[in-house]
Amino acid sequence: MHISEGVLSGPVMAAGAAFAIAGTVAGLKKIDYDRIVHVAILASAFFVASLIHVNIGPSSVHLILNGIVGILLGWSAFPAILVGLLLQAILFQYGGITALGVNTVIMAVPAVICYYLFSPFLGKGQKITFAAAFMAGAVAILLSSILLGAALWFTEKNFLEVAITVIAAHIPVMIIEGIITGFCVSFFLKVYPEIIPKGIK
Amino acid sequence: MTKKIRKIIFIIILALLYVLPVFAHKVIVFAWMENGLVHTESSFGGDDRVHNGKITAFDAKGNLIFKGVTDDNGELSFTVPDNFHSDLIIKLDACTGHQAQWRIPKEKFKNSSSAEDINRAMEKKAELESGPSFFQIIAGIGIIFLIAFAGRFINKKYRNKNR
Repeated sequence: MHISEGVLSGPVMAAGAAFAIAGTVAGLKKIDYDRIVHVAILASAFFVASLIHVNIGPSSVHLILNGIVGILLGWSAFPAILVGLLLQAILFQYGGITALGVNTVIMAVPAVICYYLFSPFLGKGQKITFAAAFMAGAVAILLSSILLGAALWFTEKNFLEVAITVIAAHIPVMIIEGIITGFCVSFFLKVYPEIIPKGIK
Repeated sequence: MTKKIRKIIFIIILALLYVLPVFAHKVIVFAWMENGLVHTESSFGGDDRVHNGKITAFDAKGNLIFKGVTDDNGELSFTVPDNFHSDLIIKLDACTGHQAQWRIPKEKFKNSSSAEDINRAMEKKAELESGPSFFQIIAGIGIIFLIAFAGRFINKKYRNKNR
């Protein structure tokens, strides 16, 4: 899911950087600094999740966990994902530094969308919570795959072909992330409900 | 230790458990000259090879020299024209935005590679393919928490100033 250095055209990188900055500023304004440790915990989970990957076809896919970051952090997912991606690029050479803005948008926008779509269902019973968290995990990957296809399409590639390849490659990740997100959120509600966004518990 | 801190530590440990099956995901194409052939190896780090990755080779002016795909071991070998006198730029397209490149300097095409050159090339390959260390992972998590607490500190100072 990380776009490498030299793949994207200049205008796509510039647009990605602008969107990422706007999202990060909005995220920083909305962070509850008394709950900053939650942002750090989820940013750390995001940072290490990409180390687990599966070979599918000519490509390699890995866990992303932007669904769980989004459903639990909302707009704060933007700075959390930006920092996670920056450290992944510097320390692990995952994705390009120049593609950081686009990579942030690809992973953080679906996270925020999933927050609005699924977080209202958290805490409404065990099964509904699990289903909402599962959907957040899976839909975040689906939306990220579509955004990745779009970013590559703007750089002179066939959108449909690329989007289908990316979505097909990430179907196992959608299922795995859905299950992980479902179990983690259900678990957090039981043992550490403070991590669930305020007003949702 | 308060109950809350114990819970936080537990969650951090839970997050670290994700690291257990550690694999690298960076995309690497590595190339070297041996017995007049250009050998390439493409991987996502470690033993995780790029299957059917598109390899293209260009001279320094951008003229296409070779085009092919990697085998199941991520390998592809090819020859260059006899009169080739340029740096060779090898690009790997491993699909879905994964791309890497490697440059072989033109001097390598004039002189045949010695055993020492090949050994050095293999050492470089092993270095590139090595996955992230435990120290790097811990350092990354440490930096995240440092940034978070710095943000909290700055915010607190700003709020106190505006009171």
